Amino acid sequence: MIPKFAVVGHPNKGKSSIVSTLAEDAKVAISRTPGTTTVARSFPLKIDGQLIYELIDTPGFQRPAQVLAWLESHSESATDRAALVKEFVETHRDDLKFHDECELLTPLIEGAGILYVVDGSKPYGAEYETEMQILRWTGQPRMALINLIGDDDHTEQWRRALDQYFSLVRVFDALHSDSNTRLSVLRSFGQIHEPWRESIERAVDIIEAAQVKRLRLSASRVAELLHHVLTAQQRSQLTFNEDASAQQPKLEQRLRDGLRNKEQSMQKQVASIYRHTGSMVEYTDAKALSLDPFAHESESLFGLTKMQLAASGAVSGGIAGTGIDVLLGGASLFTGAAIGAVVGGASAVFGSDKVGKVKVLGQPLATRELVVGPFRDPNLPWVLLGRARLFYRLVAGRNHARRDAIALSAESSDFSAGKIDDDLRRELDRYFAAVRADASKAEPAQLVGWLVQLLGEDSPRA
Amino acid sequence: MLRHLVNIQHWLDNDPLTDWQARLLRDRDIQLSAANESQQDPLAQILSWWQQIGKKYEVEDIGSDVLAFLKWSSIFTGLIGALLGASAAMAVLRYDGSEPISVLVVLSVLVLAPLILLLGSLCLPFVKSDGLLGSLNLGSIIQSVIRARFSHLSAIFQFASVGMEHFLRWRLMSYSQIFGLSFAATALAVLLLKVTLTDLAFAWGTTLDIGPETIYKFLSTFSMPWASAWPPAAPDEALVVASKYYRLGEPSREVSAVALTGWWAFLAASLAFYGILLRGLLLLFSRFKASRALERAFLNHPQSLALLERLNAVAITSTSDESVDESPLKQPSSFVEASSSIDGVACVFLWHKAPGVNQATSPPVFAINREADLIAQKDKISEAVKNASAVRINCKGWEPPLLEFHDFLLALRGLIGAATALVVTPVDETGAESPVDDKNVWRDSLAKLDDPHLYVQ
Repeated sequence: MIPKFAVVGHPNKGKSSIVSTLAEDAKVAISRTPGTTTVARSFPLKIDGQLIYELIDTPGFQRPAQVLAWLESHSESATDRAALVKEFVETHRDDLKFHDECELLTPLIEGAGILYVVDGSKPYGAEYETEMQILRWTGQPRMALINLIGDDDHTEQWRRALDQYFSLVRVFDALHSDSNTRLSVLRSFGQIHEPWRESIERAVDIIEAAQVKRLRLSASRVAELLHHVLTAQQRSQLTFNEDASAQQPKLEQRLRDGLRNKEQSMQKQVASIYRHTGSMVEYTDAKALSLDPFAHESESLFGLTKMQLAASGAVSGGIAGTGIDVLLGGASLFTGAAIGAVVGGASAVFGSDKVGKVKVLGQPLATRELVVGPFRDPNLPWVLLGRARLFYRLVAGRNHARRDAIALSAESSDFSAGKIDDDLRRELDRYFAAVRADASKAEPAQLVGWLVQLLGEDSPRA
Repeated sequence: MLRHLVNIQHWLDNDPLTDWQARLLRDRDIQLSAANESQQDPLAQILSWWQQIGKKYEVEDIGSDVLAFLKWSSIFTGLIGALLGASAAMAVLRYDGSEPISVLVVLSVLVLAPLILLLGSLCLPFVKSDGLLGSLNLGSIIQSVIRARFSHLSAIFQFASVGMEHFLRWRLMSYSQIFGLSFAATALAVLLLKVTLTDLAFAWGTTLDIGPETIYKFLSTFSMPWASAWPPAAPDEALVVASKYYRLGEPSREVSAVALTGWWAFLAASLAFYGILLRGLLLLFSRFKASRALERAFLNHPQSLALLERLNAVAITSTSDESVDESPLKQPSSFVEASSSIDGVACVFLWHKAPGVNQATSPPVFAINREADLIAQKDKISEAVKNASAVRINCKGWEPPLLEFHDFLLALRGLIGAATALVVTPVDETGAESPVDDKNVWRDSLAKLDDPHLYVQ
């Protein structure tokens, strides 16, 4: 039997927020206005199309006292309580007065487990006992979730009351919980009814593996962006007498626009991997992401320092110089590498060639072609990497129930290239230099591996 | 493969689904429906996926255009090679009976020169296709034309992408072999035609002090590959000696015209072996390498990698399939907030034990937890509200108003009459006025009752 869980409770206690977070569905209507949810809505968890469990969002209780009064007036013994709840729903199904109660009780009489939601930031009130008694009458497996909407904490008070009605009570902050907590709460759903345990455990295991996969998928998207910045070119066919310098600014602009589009595309894809729709940048107060990647501020926030730039340039120059040493069979005693490193380092610091090399290709008998790019600015891949890390941090850490702007717990400068572990930075630097030298020899999987490490460290889960 | 690569990448670049999750669900679904043993192989996975995509969507076959263009480029290259081969052969095999044809000249023009070019072309896979050496190649010219012709597919032909550069280099090599192969084949055809239809006399001569022994040694080494299979095509020492020729003539030696015709088999075999067989093998090899490089480029293309990720990722869905009524919630009608000057509060109702009443100084207080409590205290309440201008209802401001509260207000209105003001006062835990946000929730909810004498204070 497929486990079903109905999320029930008082209006405005975060039922829809919990569903939104657990189902990773940012489209669930969430509002301070009581009665926003008017019908029960199912959120089935399917793995490769196979239904594993179902989460059901329900309207809140509106007339619990009247429902309980009806039940008590019709009850003859404790044995008929579950049947009476069913009878109540069948009797009042078309009664608008009890529409919300019928909507929330229907999944329960159909076998759903109960996830009773209260707000632990508000004081306990005896009026809740009416709802809890009705839920107890259904006889369904049940647990309580203490959501924390506000800043105050009345958890202990709630716990004392809830313990009397529910076999399991968990605190769960729908807006701020991390993925570990979400999985832990999900796992506890399986504990309220033994036959459901296996399905829930399986779901948790698969979701856990999917989290790792998400990280890798995101790293792949960032790797694509970095490869793009290191290899992208713009080409234009020239007529035999056409002046290349007239075409050059247009191609440079296209190269820059192409990179901006690529970055936006990466952000959209990463957001989609984490099932966030819309532009995450709109939701965030991380202004650094709104900056142009070519802006000086972006460079100073995310790029390498002058010293690191010099070291980075030395790596690229050294690789080029080593080529000369190899050609000379080492007879140059690695002078080529040394000179290359010095020249590379100096040009990285003082060079102003941001767009990259420009060349005209062509044969006397065939077409001529103006080629612009790839970008030569050694800081650009680092800037993009820093921005990608910041974006990832925002997306991966954001719960789907949130409708507010994200306040970053870390400074944007925490994502600067200079703060990456020295060994890893050197590896990345060498990789960037190698891709620039000959992209066909690059191993994207290696880059993805390093990015998984970096993003994993950035992840709020870590 | 190239056709698939172009078509698939072009389709993926213009994928009608833009959202990554939507793509994942579609592609994973295709993968699961087509799952079989070959699905372990990434290439097979992509091709199988492509087959299904072809059934679901209308796909553009641009790959055929590219393929057709390459085919015609090959034919064009072959034709130029053939034309040059025929011209060169006609030129070096020109014979009017006055002077024998120089074997060494024929060998140099038709076999040795292309052989040197062949050795040069072996470097092509190791040089950049748009570098100096690459640019000198006819294939490079064709490649430039391809870029111009298919500039809208530039994303697919990202020349810097992994594997694509290798593919293009081997493609250059392949064009070279087509050119060389057709050159040699036509030259051989001209030779055979001339041998069959005319009488040709061959000899050899050199200004250098090189004797027949040296020439024989060279030629026997040169013809070693076919000497055992076709002995007449390997010149013997007697023929070499007999064919030594000075245009000024050596009166002491008589040269037999018949002996001088014996060279054609050697030349034919040289062309067949070095011109056709070697080039043919290299053509096959370069095509094989190009195909491998293309496969690598295909699988390493960012779009292919992303597709493979989607095909092999577990598709987890947990969003609702059910649509919801997106119509906005009923807007509350205009609502008058009570001014603090409402006087004459006759009694106070405490809804669900709301705080905020000083029992010593306040008017009569009624605790109400449900509508039934109102009915139970009906007489006392009627007495308390007689001639009153207002009654106050304290409620927990942090809790939202339920419809149960609306029911209570309606019942109370029935009890106290239409003119008496009902002042609902949301309070916080200490009994003080609730924050504005909480009050707004109450105000919006109670506005739905459309009661002109209902206020939120």
